[in-house]
Amino acid sequence: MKTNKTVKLKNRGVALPLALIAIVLLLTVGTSILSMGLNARVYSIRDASDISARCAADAGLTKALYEMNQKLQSKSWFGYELPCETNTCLSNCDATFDYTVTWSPSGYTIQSTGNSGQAQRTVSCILKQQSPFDAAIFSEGSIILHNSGIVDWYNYDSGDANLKVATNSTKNGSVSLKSSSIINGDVTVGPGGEPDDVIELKSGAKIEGETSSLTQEHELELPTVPNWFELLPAGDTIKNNTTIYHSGKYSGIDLKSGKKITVIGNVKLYITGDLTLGNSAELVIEEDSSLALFLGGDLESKNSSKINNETKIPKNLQIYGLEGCEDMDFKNSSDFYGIIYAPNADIVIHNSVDIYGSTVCNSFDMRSSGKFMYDASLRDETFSSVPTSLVVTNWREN
Amino acid sequence: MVELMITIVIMLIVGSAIGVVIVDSQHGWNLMYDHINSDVVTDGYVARKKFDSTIRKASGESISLGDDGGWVEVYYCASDSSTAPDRYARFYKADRDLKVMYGKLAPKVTLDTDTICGNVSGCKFKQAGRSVQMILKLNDGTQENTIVTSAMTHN
Repeated sequence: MKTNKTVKLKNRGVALPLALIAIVLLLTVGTSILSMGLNARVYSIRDASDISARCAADAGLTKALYEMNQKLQSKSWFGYELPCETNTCLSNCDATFDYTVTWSPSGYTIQSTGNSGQAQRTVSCILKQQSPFDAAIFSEGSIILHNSGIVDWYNYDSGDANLKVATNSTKNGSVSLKSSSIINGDVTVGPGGEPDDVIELKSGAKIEGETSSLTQEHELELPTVPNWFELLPAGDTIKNNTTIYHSGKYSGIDLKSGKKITVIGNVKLYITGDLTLGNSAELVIEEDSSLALFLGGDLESKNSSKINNETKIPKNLQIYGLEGCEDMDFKNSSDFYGIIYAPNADIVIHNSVDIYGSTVCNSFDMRSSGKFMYDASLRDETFSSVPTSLVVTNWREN
Repeated sequence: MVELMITIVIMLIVGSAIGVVIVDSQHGWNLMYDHINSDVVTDGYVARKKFDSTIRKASGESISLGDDGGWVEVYYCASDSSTAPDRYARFYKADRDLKVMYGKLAPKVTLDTDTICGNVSGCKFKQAGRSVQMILKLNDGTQENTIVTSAMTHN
Protein backbone atom coordinates (compact mmCIF):
# COMPACT_ATOMS: atom_id res chain seq x y z
CA MET A 1 0.00 0.00 0.00
CA LYS A 2 2.82 2.29 0.98
CA THR A 3 4.66 1.66 -2.35
CA ASN A 4 1.57 2.36 -4.50
CA LYS A 5 0.95 5.62 -2.68
CA THR A 6 4.53 6.80 -3.29
CA VAL A 7 4.33 6.05 -7.09
CA LYS A 8 1.03 7.87 -7.36
CA LEU A 9 2.48 10.89 -5.58
CA LYS A 10 5.58 10.91 -7.88
CA ASN A 11 3.46 10.71 -11.08
CA ARG A 12 1.31 13.60 -9.94
CA GLY A 13 4.40 15.85 -9.53
CA VAL A 14 5.95 15.28 -13.01
CA ALA A 15 3.35 16.70 -15.42
CA LEU A 16 3.15 20.20 -13.98
CA PRO A 17 6.88 20.99 -13.98
CA LEU A 18 7.20 19.56 -17.48
CA ALA A 19 4.35 21.68 -18.74
CA LEU A 20 5.81 24.73 -17.03
CA ILE A 21 9.24 24.11 -18.56
CA ALA A 22 7.67 23.74 -22.02
CA ILE A 23 5.67 26.93 -21.58
CA VAL A 24 8.74 28.85 -20.43
CA LEU A 25 10.78 27.56 -23.37
CA LEU A 26 8.05 28.39 -25.87
CA LEU A 27 7.59 31.84 -24.34
CA THR A 28 11.33 32.51 -24.53
CA VAL A 29 11.54 31.48 -28.17
CA GLY A 30 8.36 33.34 -29.04
CA THR A 31 9.55 36.51 -27.32
CA SER A 32 12.90 36.30 -29.16
CA ILE A 33 11.16 35.94 -32.51
CA LEU A 34 8.84 38.83 -31.73
CA SER A 35 11.75 40.96 -30.60
CA MET A 36 13.68 40.13 -33.77
CA GLY A 37 10.65 40.94 -35.90
CA LEU A 38 10.14 44.20 -34.06
CA ASN A 39 13.78 45.17 -34.54
CA ALA A 40 13.57 44.39 -38.24
CA ARG A 41 10.39 46.41 -38.52
CA VAL A 42 11.91 49.39 -36.70
CA TYR A 43 15.00 49.18 -38.91
CA SER A 44 12.96 49.06 -42.09
CA ILE A 45 10.75 51.97 -40.96
CA ARG A 46 13.86 54.00 -40.19
CA ASP A 47 15.37 53.08 -43.56
CA ALA A 48 12.16 53.92 -45.42
CA SER A 49 11.90 57.25 -43.58
CA ASP A 50 15.48 58.04 -44.47
CA ILE A 51 14.82 57.32 -48.15
CA SER A 52 11.60 59.38 -48.08
CA ALA A 53 13.40 62.30 -46.40
CA ARG A 54 16.16 62.16 -49.00
CA CYS A 55 13.65 62.09 -51.87
CA ALA A 56 11.81 65.03 -50.29
CA ALA A 57 15.06 67.02 -49.98
CA ASP A 58 15.88 66.26 -53.63
CA ALA A 59 12.36 67.26 -54.67
CA GLY A 60 12.67 70.54 -52.78
CA LEU A 61 15.93 71.37 -54.51
CA THR A 62 14.46 70.50 -57.91
CA LYS A 63 11.41 72.68 -57.21
CA ALA A 64 13.60 75.59 -56.13
CA LEU A 65 15.72 75.23 -59.28
CA TYR A 66 12.56 75.20 -61.40
CA GLU A 67 11.22 78.33 -59.68
CA MET A 68 14.53 80.12 -60.18
CA ASN A 69 14.62 79.19 -63.86
CA GLN A 70 11.03 80.40 -64.27
CA LYS A 71 12.13 83.73 -62.80
CA LEU A 72 15.09 83.81 -65.16
CA GLN A 73 12.89 83.16 -68.21
CA SER A 74 10.31 85.76 -67.21
CA LYS A 75 13.12 88.20 -66.37
CA SER A 76 11.38 88.98 -63.07
CA TRP A 77 14.65 89.02 -61.28
CA PHE A 78 14.25 90.66 -57.92
CA GLY A 79 16.55 89.59 -55.14
CA TYR A 80 14.00 90.17 -52.39
CA GLU A 81 11.48 87.87 -54.06
CA LEU A 82 13.54 84.74 -53.98
CA PRO A 83 11.38 81.62 -53.78
CA CYS A 84 10.95 79.65 -50.57
CA GLU A 85 8.54 77.03 -49.29
CA THR A 86 7.89 75.50 -45.89
CA ASN A 87 6.34 72.19 -44.92
CA THR A 88 5.29 71.29 -48.46
CA CYS A 89 3.98 67.73 -48.80
CA LEU A 90 5.57 65.38 -51.25
CA SER A 91 2.85 63.75 -53.36
CA ASN A 92 1.75 60.22 -52.41
CA CYS A 93 4.00 60.23 -49.41
CA ASP A 94 3.99 61.53 -45.83
CA ALA A 95 7.34 63.31 -46.32
CA THR A 96 7.58 67.10 -46.41
CA PHE A 97 10.22 69.55 -47.61
CA ASP A 98 11.32 73.10 -46.94
CA TYR A 99 13.62 75.10 -49.18
CA THR A 100 15.17 78.52 -49.17
CA VAL A 101 17.13 80.42 -51.79
CA THR A 102 19.66 82.95 -50.60
CA TRP A 103 22.03 85.24 -52.40
CA SER A 104 25.69 85.70 -51.61
CA PRO A 105 28.63 86.99 -53.64
CA SER A 106 29.39 83.42 -54.71
CA GLY A 107 25.91 83.11 -56.24
CA TYR A 108 22.44 81.90 -55.38
CA THR A 109 22.40 79.09 -52.84
CA ILE A 110 19.55 76.62 -52.45
CA GLN A 111 19.14 74.72 -49.22
CA SER A 112 16.46 72.06 -49.11
CA THR A 113 15.48 69.91 -46.14
CA GLY A 114 13.35 66.79 -46.38
CA ASN A 115 11.52 65.39 -43.34
CA SER A 116 9.88 62.02 -42.90
CA GLY A 117 9.10 60.66 -39.45
CA GLN A 118 12.23 61.03 -37.37
CA ALA A 119 14.49 61.25 -40.45
CA GLN A 120 15.79 64.53 -41.80
CA ARG A 121 18.07 65.07 -44.79
CA THR A 122 19.47 68.32 -46.12
CA VAL A 123 20.95 69.05 -49.53
CA SER A 124 22.35 72.32 -50.79
CA CYS A 125 23.89 73.70 -53.94
CA ILE A 126 25.05 76.89 -55.62
CA LEU A 127 23.38 77.95 -58.85
CA LYS A 128 25.34 79.03 -61.85
CA GLN A 129 24.07 80.50 -65.07
CA GLN A 130 25.13 78.13 -67.80
CA SER A 131 27.16 79.82 -70.50
CA PRO A 132 26.34 78.72 -74.05
CA PHE A 133 30.07 78.89 -74.66
CA ASP A 134 31.26 76.29 -72.15
CA ALA A 135 32.97 74.44 -75.00
CA ALA A 136 35.47 75.77 -77.53
CA ILE A 137 33.45 74.19 -80.32
CA PHE A 138 30.03 72.66 -79.81
CA SER A 139 28.41 71.10 -82.83
CA GLU A 140 25.16 69.30 -83.44
CA GLY A 141 26.90 67.20 -86.08
CA SER A 142 30.42 66.87 -87.40
CA ILE A 143 33.63 68.62 -86.35
CA ILE A 144 36.51 68.36 -88.80
CA LEU A 145 40.01 69.68 -88.29
CA HIS A 146 42.17 69.44 -91.39
CA ASN A 147 45.93 68.92 -91.48
CA SER A 148 47.83 70.61 -88.66
CA GLY A 149 44.76 72.37 -87.29
CA ILE A 150 45.03 73.21 -83.61
CA VAL A 151 42.41 73.85 -80.94
CA ASP A 152 43.92 75.48 -77.88
CA TRP A 153 42.83 77.95 -75.20
CA TYR A 154 43.76 81.08 -73.28
CA ASN A 155 42.40 83.27 -70.45
CA TYR A 156 42.04 80.27 -68.16
CA ASP A 157 42.97 79.79 -64.51
CA SER A 158 44.70 76.81 -63.00
CA GLY A 159 41.98 74.49 -61.73
CA ASP A 160 39.57 75.41 -64.51
CA ALA A 161 37.84 72.53 -66.22
CA ASN A 162 39.68 71.42 -69.34
CA LEU A 163 39.03 72.93 -72.73
CA LYS A 164 36.21 70.96 -74.30
CA VAL A 165 35.23 70.18 -77.87
CA ALA A 166 31.86 68.47 -78.02
CA THR A 167 29.21 67.14 -80.38
CA ASN A 168 25.73 65.73 -79.96
CA SER A 169 26.48 63.28 -82.77
CA THR A 170 27.14 59.58 -82.24
CA LYS A 171 27.92 58.76 -85.88
CA ASN A 172 31.23 57.11 -86.60
CA GLY A 173 33.87 59.64 -87.64
CA SER A 174 31.77 62.67 -86.62
CA VAL A 175 34.84 64.16 -84.99
CA SER A 176 37.65 63.91 -87.48
CA LEU A 177 41.19 65.06 -86.80
CA LYS A 178 43.32 64.93 -89.94
CA SER A 179 47.04 64.38 -89.77
CA SER A 180 49.01 66.32 -87.16
CA SER A 181 45.98 68.20 -85.88
CA ILE A 182 45.77 68.65 -82.10
CA ILE A 183 43.07 69.35 -79.55
CA ASN A 184 44.60 70.51 -76.29
CA GLY A 185 41.72 69.34 -74.12
CA ASP A 186 38.83 66.90 -73.86
CA VAL A 187 36.53 65.67 -76.59
CA THR A 188 32.98 64.64 -75.77
CA VAL A 189 30.68 62.82 -78.18
CA GLY A 190 26.90 62.39 -78.17
CA PRO A 191 25.05 60.44 -75.49
CA GLY A 192 25.55 56.70 -75.85
CA GLY A 193 28.26 57.19 -78.48
CA GLU A 194 31.47 55.21 -78.31
CA PRO A 195 34.29 57.82 -78.35
CA ASP A 196 36.71 55.44 -80.10
CA ASP A 197 34.27 55.05 -83.01
CA VAL A 198 32.93 58.60 -83.16
CA ILE A 199 36.39 60.18 -83.07
CA GLU A 200 38.63 59.54 -86.04
CA LEU A 201 42.32 60.28 -85.58
CA LYS A 202 44.65 60.35 -88.57
CA SER A 203 48.40 59.93 -88.29
CA GLY A 204 49.98 62.34 -85.83
CA ALA A 205 46.62 63.72 -84.72
CA LYS A 206 46.30 63.99 -80.97
CA ILE A 207 43.78 64.69 -78.21
CA GLU A 208 45.65 65.82 -75.13
CA GLY A 209 42.75 65.34 -72.70
CA GLU A 210 40.12 62.67 -72.12
CA THR A 211 37.45 61.40 -74.46
CA SER A 212 33.96 60.63 -73.19
CA SER A 213 30.31 60.73 -74.14
CA LEU A 214 27.64 63.16 -72.97
CA THR A 215 25.22 61.82 -70.38
CA GLN A 216 22.35 63.62 -72.08
CA GLU A 217 21.84 65.47 -75.34
CA HIS A 218 22.63 69.15 -75.22
CA GLU A 219 19.66 70.88 -76.79
CA LEU A 220 20.61 73.85 -78.93
CA GLU A 221 17.91 76.47 -78.89
CA LEU A 222 17.79 79.27 -81.42
CA PRO A 223 18.90 82.72 -80.30
CA THR A 224 16.25 85.37 -79.70
CA VAL A 225 16.23 88.76 -81.40
CA PRO A 226 15.45 91.67 -79.04
CA ASN A 227 11.74 92.50 -79.29
CA TRP A 228 12.25 96.11 -80.24
CA PHE A 229 13.95 95.02 -83.51
CA GLU A 230 10.66 93.53 -84.71
CA LEU A 231 9.02 96.97 -84.61
CA LEU A 232 11.73 98.61 -86.71
CA PRO A 233 11.41 98.80 -90.49
CA ALA A 234 14.33 97.12 -92.27
CA GLY A 235 16.73 99.47 -94.04
CA ASP A 236 18.13 98.78 -97.50
CA THR A 237 20.98 96.37 -98.12
CA ILE A 238 24.34 97.93 -97.29
CA LYS A 239 26.65 97.75 -100.31
CA ASN A 240 29.19 100.54 -99.95
CA ASN A 241 31.43 102.20 -97.37
CA THR A 242 29.37 102.83 -94.26
CA THR A 243 30.04 103.87 -90.70
CA ILE A 244 27.49 102.58 -88.19
CA TYR A 245 27.09 104.32 -84.85
CA HIS A 246 23.66 103.05 -83.81
CA SER A 247 21.77 99.82 -83.68
CA GLY A 248 19.55 99.09 -86.66
CA LYS A 249 17.81 96.63 -88.89
CA TYR A 250 18.82 95.99 -92.49
CA SER A 251 17.53 93.66 -95.15
CA GLY A 252 21.08 92.56 -95.97
CA ILE A 253 24.74 93.37 -96.30
CA ASP A 254 26.36 92.83 -99.67
CA LEU A 255 29.61 94.70 -99.41
CA LYS A 256 31.32 95.15 -102.75
CA SER A 257 35.03 94.48 -103.32
CA GLY A 258 37.32 96.69 -101.31
CA LYS A 259 34.45 98.40 -99.43
CA LYS A 260 34.31 98.80 -95.68
CA ILE A 261 31.77 98.94 -92.87
CA THR A 262 33.00 100.52 -89.66
CA VAL A 263 31.22 100.01 -86.37
CA ILE A 264 31.75 102.62 -83.68
CA GLY A 265 30.08 102.29 -80.29
CA ASN A 266 28.03 99.45 -78.89
CA VAL A 267 25.90 98.42 -81.80
CA LYS A 268 23.31 95.72 -82.44
CA LEU A 269 22.43 94.89 -86.02
CA TYR A 270 19.58 92.73 -87.23
CA ILE A 271 20.22 91.55 -90.79
CA THR A 272 17.09 89.84 -92.08
CA GLY A 273 18.82 88.47 -95.19
CA ASP A 274 22.36 87.38 -96.14
CA LEU A 275 25.64 88.99 -95.19
CA THR A 276 28.26 88.91 -97.91
CA LEU A 277 31.68 90.52 -97.78
CA GLY A 278 33.13 90.80 -101.30
CA ASN A 279 36.80 90.26 -102.10
CA SER A 280 38.97 92.42 -99.84
CA ALA A 281 35.90 93.98 -98.24
CA GLU A 282 36.10 94.70 -94.55
CA LEU A 283 33.89 94.79 -91.48
CA VAL A 284 35.68 96.69 -88.72
CA ILE A 285 34.72 96.93 -85.06
CA GLU A 286 36.76 99.80 -83.72
CA GLU A 287 38.50 99.99 -80.36
CA ASP A 288 36.07 100.38 -77.41
CA SER A 289 33.20 99.23 -79.59
CA SER A 290 31.14 96.08 -79.86
CA LEU A 291 28.83 94.48 -82.35
CA ALA A 292 26.03 91.97 -81.80
CA LEU A 293 24.91 90.70 -85.18
CA PHE A 294 21.59 88.86 -85.60
CA LEU A 295 21.69 87.12 -88.93
CA GLY A 296 18.54 85.88 -90.62
CA GLY A 297 20.36 84.54 -93.70
CA ASP A 298 23.77 83.09 -94.59
CA LEU A 299 27.20 84.61 -94.10
CA GLU A 300 29.95 84.59 -96.70
CA SER A 301 33.23 86.41 -96.46
CA LYS A 302 35.02 86.11 -99.79
CA ASN A 303 38.75 85.97 -100.55
CA SER A 304 40.92 88.41 -98.65
CA SER A 305 37.94 89.95 -96.87
CA LYS A 306 38.34 90.85 -93.21
CA ILE A 307 36.13 90.72 -90.16
CA ASN A 308 38.35 92.86 -88.06
CA ASN A 309 37.52 93.13 -84.36
CA GLU A 310 40.12 95.68 -83.32
CA THR A 311 39.35 95.22 -79.62
CA LYS A 312 40.72 91.69 -79.89
CA ILE A 313 38.14 90.68 -77.30
CA PRO A 314 35.92 87.89 -78.65
CA LYS A 315 32.79 88.88 -76.70
CA ASN A 316 32.83 92.25 -78.48
CA LEU A 317 31.78 90.54 -81.70
CA GLN A 318 28.78 88.30 -81.22
CA ILE A 319 27.27 86.66 -84.28
CA TYR A 320 23.89 85.01 -83.74
CA GLY A 321 22.62 82.84 -86.58
CA LEU A 322 18.81 82.71 -86.60
CA GLU A 323 16.66 79.95 -88.05
CA GLY A 324 17.45 80.83 -91.69
CA CYS A 325 21.19 81.01 -91.15
CA GLU A 326 22.43 77.69 -92.51
CA ASP A 327 25.84 78.45 -94.01
CA MET A 328 28.79 80.48 -92.82
CA ASP A 329 31.81 80.55 -95.12
CA PHE A 330 34.90 82.36 -93.91
CA LYS A 331 37.67 83.12 -96.40
CA ASN A 332 38.86 86.11 -94.43
CA SER A 333 42.50 86.98 -94.46
CA SER A 334 42.86 88.27 -90.89
CA ASP A 335 42.53 86.73 -87.47
CA PHE A 336 38.95 86.53 -86.25
CA TYR A 337 38.02 87.52 -82.70
CA GLY A 338 34.41 86.70 -81.98
CA ILE A 339 31.81 84.25 -80.81
CA ILE A 340 29.35 82.53 -83.10
CA TYR A 341 26.09 81.03 -81.89
CA ALA A 342 24.34 79.55 -84.91
CA PRO A 343 22.71 76.19 -84.14
CA ASN A 344 21.53 75.66 -87.75
CA ALA A 345 24.70 76.78 -89.52
CA ASP A 346 27.43 74.74 -91.16
CA ILE A 347 30.60 76.72 -90.55
CA VAL A 348 33.58 76.40 -92.90
CA ILE A 349 36.89 78.16 -92.24
CA HIS A 350 38.93 78.18 -95.44
CA ASN A 351 42.09 80.15 -94.88
CA SER A 352 44.95 79.59 -92.45
CA VAL A 353 43.91 82.33 -90.06
CA ASP A 354 43.56 82.09 -86.31
CA ILE A 355 40.14 82.16 -84.67
CA TYR A 356 39.78 83.51 -81.13
CA GLY A 357 36.54 82.89 -79.27
CA SER A 358 34.05 80.07 -79.29
CA THR A 359 31.42 78.63 -81.58
CA VAL A 360 28.15 76.72 -81.35
CA CYS A 361 26.95 75.41 -84.69
CA ASN A 362 25.39 72.60 -86.69
CA SER A 363 28.74 71.49 -88.11
CA PHE A 364 32.27 72.84 -88.06
CA ASP A 365 34.92 72.35 -90.70
CA MET A 366 38.35 74.00 -90.37
CA ARG A 367 39.93 73.45 -93.77
CA SER A 368 43.18 75.11 -93.00
CA SER A 369 46.13 74.76 -90.71
CA GLY A 370 45.08 77.68 -88.53
CA LYS A 371 44.54 77.75 -84.81
CA PHE A 372 41.24 77.89 -82.98
CA MET A 373 41.92 79.61 -79.65
CA TYR A 374 39.16 79.26 -77.09
CA ASP A 375 38.68 82.20 -74.73
CA ALA A 376 37.98 80.46 -71.40
CA SER A 377 36.70 83.69 -69.82
CA LEU A 378 33.53 83.22 -71.91
CA ARG A 379 32.46 80.56 -69.41
CA ASP A 380 31.75 83.29 -66.88
CA GLU A 381 29.90 85.59 -69.27
CA THR A 382 26.15 85.83 -69.72
CA PHE A 383 24.54 86.34 -73.10
CA SER A 384 21.00 87.68 -73.05
CA SER A 385 20.22 86.63 -76.62
CA VAL A 386 20.84 82.95 -76.04
CA PRO A 387 18.29 80.96 -74.04
CA THR A 388 20.05 79.97 -70.89
CA SER A 389 19.26 78.33 -67.60
CA LEU A 390 20.59 78.06 -64.09
CA VAL A 391 22.39 74.83 -63.33
CA VAL A 392 23.44 73.15 -60.11
CA THR A 393 27.03 73.37 -58.94
CA ASN A 394 28.72 72.49 -55.64
CA TRP A 395 25.92 70.11 -54.69
CA ARG A 396 26.34 68.90 -51.13
CA GLU A 397 24.49 66.48 -48.88
CA ASN A 398 24.49 66.58 -45.09
CA MET B 1 0.88 -0.46 -14.54
CA VAL B 2 -1.42 0.23 -17.49
CA GLU B 3 -2.11 3.70 -16.16
CA LEU B 4 1.60 4.33 -15.88
CA MET B 5 2.20 3.18 -19.49
CA ILE B 6 -0.62 5.36 -20.79
CA THR B 7 0.74 8.34 -18.91
CA ILE B 8 4.25 7.75 -20.27
CA VAL B 9 2.97 7.43 -23.86
CA ILE B 10 0.95 10.60 -23.50
CA MET B 11 3.93 12.40 -22.01
CA LEU B 12 6.13 11.13 -24.87
CA ILE B 13 3.70 12.35 -27.53
CA VAL B 14 3.25 15.73 -25.86
CA GLY B 15 7.02 16.00 -25.18
CA SER B 16 7.87 15.15 -28.79
CA ALA B 17 5.37 17.67 -30.10
CA ILE B 18 6.73 20.38 -27.85
CA GLY B 19 10.27 19.38 -28.82
CA VAL B 20 9.44 19.67 -32.53
CA VAL B 21 7.87 23.09 -31.97
CA ILE B 22 10.87 24.28 -29.97
CA VAL B 23 13.39 22.98 -32.53
CA ASP B 24 11.38 24.52 -35.40
CA SER B 25 11.13 27.82 -33.55
CA GLN B 26 14.85 27.81 -32.95
CA HIS B 27 15.47 27.07 -36.63
CA GLY B 28 13.11 29.89 -37.63
CA TRP B 29 14.79 32.22 -35.20
CA ASN B 30 18.23 31.38 -36.65
CA LEU B 31 16.93 31.86 -40.17
CA MET B 32 15.42 35.22 -39.32
CA TYR B 33 18.54 36.29 -37.50
CA ASP B 34 20.62 35.43 -40.58
CA HIS B 35 18.25 37.30 -42.85
CA ILE B 36 18.71 40.41 -40.75
CA ASN B 37 22.23 40.22 -39.40
CA SER B 38 24.33 37.91 -41.57
CA ASP B 39 27.36 39.31 -43.38
CA VAL B 40 25.81 39.19 -46.85
CA VAL B 41 22.91 41.32 -45.63
CA THR B 42 24.84 43.92 -43.62
CA ASP B 43 27.50 44.11 -46.36
CA GLY B 44 24.71 44.81 -48.82
CA TYR B 45 23.54 47.81 -46.77
CA VAL B 46 27.08 49.14 -46.55
CA ALA B 47 27.66 48.70 -50.29
CA ARG B 48 24.40 50.45 -51.10
CA LYS B 49 25.14 53.41 -48.83
CA LYS B 50 28.67 53.82 -50.16
CA PHE B 51 27.51 53.60 -53.77
CA ASP B 52 24.66 56.07 -53.17
CA SER B 53 26.77 58.70 -51.45
CA THR B 54 29.56 58.53 -54.03
CA ILE B 55 27.33 58.63 -57.10
CA ARG B 56 25.06 61.36 -55.71
CA LYS B 57 27.95 63.82 -55.29
CA ALA B 58 29.50 62.99 -58.68
CA SER B 59 29.38 65.08 -61.82
CA GLY B 60 26.74 64.12 -64.37
CA GLU B 61 28.77 65.54 -67.24
CA SER B 62 30.75 62.38 -67.69
CA ILE B 63 30.37 58.81 -66.46
CA SER B 64 32.68 56.04 -67.68
CA LEU B 65 31.40 52.48 -67.82
CA GLY B 66 33.33 49.30 -68.55
CA ASP B 67 32.45 47.47 -71.79
CA ASP B 68 30.78 44.60 -69.94
CA GLY B 69 29.47 46.81 -67.14
CA GLY B 70 32.13 45.38 -64.87
CA TRP B 71 33.18 48.78 -63.54
CA VAL B 72 31.97 52.35 -63.35
CA GLU B 73 33.99 55.50 -62.90
CA VAL B 74 32.55 58.82 -61.78
CA TYR B 75 34.16 62.21 -61.22
CA TYR B 76 33.62 64.63 -58.38
CA CYS B 77 35.03 67.73 -56.70
CA ALA B 78 37.39 67.24 -53.78
CA SER B 79 36.26 70.39 -51.98
CA ASP B 80 33.89 73.35 -52.15
CA SER B 81 36.57 75.47 -53.75
CA SER B 82 37.01 73.12 -56.72
CA THR B 83 35.43 74.57 -59.82
CA ALA B 84 35.67 71.38 -61.85
CA PRO B 85 35.83 67.67 -60.99
CA ASP B 86 39.32 66.88 -59.79
CA ARG B 87 38.83 63.41 -58.29
CA TYR B 88 37.59 60.09 -59.58
CA ALA B 89 36.02 57.07 -57.92
CA ARG B 90 35.94 53.70 -59.65
CA PHE B 91 33.74 50.84 -58.40
CA TYR B 92 34.82 47.39 -59.52
CA LYS B 93 34.85 43.73 -58.50
CA ALA B 94 38.20 42.14 -57.75
CA ASP B 95 38.13 38.40 -56.97
CA ARG B 96 35.27 38.16 -54.49
CA ASP B 97 35.49 41.75 -53.23
CA LEU B 98 33.71 44.94 -54.23
CA LYS B 99 36.26 47.73 -54.24
CA VAL B 100 36.31 51.45 -54.82
CA MET B 101 39.42 53.18 -56.06
CA TYR B 102 39.87 56.92 -55.42
CA GLY B 103 42.29 59.12 -57.28
CA LYS B 104 43.27 62.51 -58.62
CA LEU B 105 42.62 63.68 -62.14
CA ALA B 106 45.00 65.45 -64.51
CA PRO B 107 47.30 63.63 -64.16
CA LYS B 108 45.40 60.54 -63.15
CA VAL B 109 46.93 59.19 -59.96
CA THR B 110 45.45 56.56 -57.65
CA LEU B 111 45.28 57.77 -54.05
CA ASP B 112 43.51 54.97 -52.22
CA THR B 113 41.58 51.76 -52.69
CA ASP B 114 38.90 50.62 -50.22
CA THR B 115 37.30 47.23 -49.98
CA ILE B 116 33.60 47.78 -49.46
CA CYS B 117 32.52 44.17 -48.98
CA GLY B 118 33.49 40.55 -49.59
CA ASN B 119 31.52 37.48 -50.68
CA VAL B 120 30.74 39.11 -54.04
CA SER B 121 29.54 36.55 -56.56
CA GLY B 122 28.57 39.06 -59.26
CA CYS B 123 28.53 42.81 -59.87
CA LYS B 124 27.20 44.74 -62.86
CA PHE B 125 26.83 48.46 -63.48
CA LYS B 126 24.44 50.19 -65.87
CA GLN B 127 24.02 53.81 -66.88
CA ALA B 128 20.96 55.71 -68.09
CA GLY B 129 21.50 59.42 -68.60
CA ARG B 130 22.82 60.88 -65.38
CA SER B 131 21.96 57.88 -63.22
CA VAL B 132 23.94 54.73 -62.46
CA GLN B 133 22.63 51.36 -61.32
CA MET B 134 24.51 48.65 -59.43
CA ILE B 135 23.35 45.04 -59.35
CA LEU B 136 25.38 43.34 -56.65
CA LYS B 137 25.14 39.66 -55.76
CA LEU B 138 26.56 38.50 -52.45
CA ASN B 139 26.90 34.84 -51.57
CA ASP B 140 28.65 33.43 -48.50
CA GLY B 141 27.94 29.81 -49.41
CA THR B 142 24.88 29.52 -47.22
CA GLN B 143 22.92 32.59 -48.18
CA GLU B 144 22.57 34.76 -51.29
CA ASN B 145 21.57 38.42 -51.33
CA THR B 146 20.98 40.51 -54.45
CA ILE B 147 21.08 44.27 -54.10
CA VAL B 148 19.79 46.48 -56.90
CA THR B 149 20.40 50.14 -56.22
CA SER B 150 20.38 53.26 -58.38
CA ALA B 151 21.62 56.75 -57.74
CA MET B 152 21.62 59.95 -59.72
CA THR B 153 24.55 62.29 -60.10
CA HIS B 154 23.84 65.82 -58.88
CA ASN B 155 26.84 67.93 -59.80
